[in-house]
Amino acid sequence: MVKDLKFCFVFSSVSLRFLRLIRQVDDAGLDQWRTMILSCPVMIILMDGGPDQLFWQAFKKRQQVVANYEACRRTARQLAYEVASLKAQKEAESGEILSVKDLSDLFALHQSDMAIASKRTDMADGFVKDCIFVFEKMLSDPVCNACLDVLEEKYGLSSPLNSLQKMRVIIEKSESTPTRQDHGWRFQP
Amino acid sequence: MSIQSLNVCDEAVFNQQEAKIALQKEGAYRSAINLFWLDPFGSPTPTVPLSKKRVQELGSFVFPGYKPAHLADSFCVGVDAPDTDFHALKGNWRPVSPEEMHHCIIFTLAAAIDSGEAGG
Repeated sequence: MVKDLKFCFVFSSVSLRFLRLIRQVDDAGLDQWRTMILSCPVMIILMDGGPDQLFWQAFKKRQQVVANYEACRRTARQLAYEVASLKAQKEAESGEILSVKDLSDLFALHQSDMAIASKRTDMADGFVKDCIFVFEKMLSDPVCNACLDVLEEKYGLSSPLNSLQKMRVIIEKSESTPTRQDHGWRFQP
Repeated sequence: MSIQSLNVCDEAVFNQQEAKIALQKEGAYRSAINLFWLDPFGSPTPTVPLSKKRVQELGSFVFPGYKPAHLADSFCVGVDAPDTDFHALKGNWRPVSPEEMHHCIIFTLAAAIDSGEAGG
């Protein structure tokens, strides 16, 4: 890794001007990279808090990333609400029903340049369909929602039902039971 | 909406005197700098192995299509004293924030040059 990086670094920093001449990369493109590199935001901090400050400050910086992830990452339920809210918004704007196919295309369009998103298993093919299915069949039920609240409070991202697939399967397996009209019973012990 | 031409980021240009005053008063100072003032091989934890693939994936997320873009987060640099001579240390500023962000810029830029798609 370090060797690769050194090679990469030396290669890319020999001089962008040389490379432009050799490889005919266009001026405008390189100028934009130059602008970006010459104006990188930085925060300088004073490390006067005792020994091992570099270690502990760096440790803390990484923990911040983890804290952001834990707090901001959508649970499956949040994702379902998020997708459903876009659908509702689009339908309110146009006054027409937005099909799951059109909604999926909309997400695919905006995800196309996000390599990381396409790797995520919770955003695999068909996640928009699952979101709408789960939203309409399960999240519309206050009892189900209350159960999911309890699980999320207790287990956070590790909640056993933090999965669109699992929620979908629960709905599919229990939907054919004709005697029960309410949905909350699915979660009751 | 894509930005047609990238302007400098909105942080003020680095100023040694202002840095000293801010570090004395607040223990922190923000500004815009040249990326190459940071030590590209600097790591707070040099013995920890890094993942090249994950760095490249980060690059493809931060710079879709190898196009240049401003960074959402600041690099963090640590100094021992407010009157540090920053200009004398150019190229050796000591990073505190995760080094992957710095690496991903270099890898992405190299890939952009290789592919002849350095933006524009």
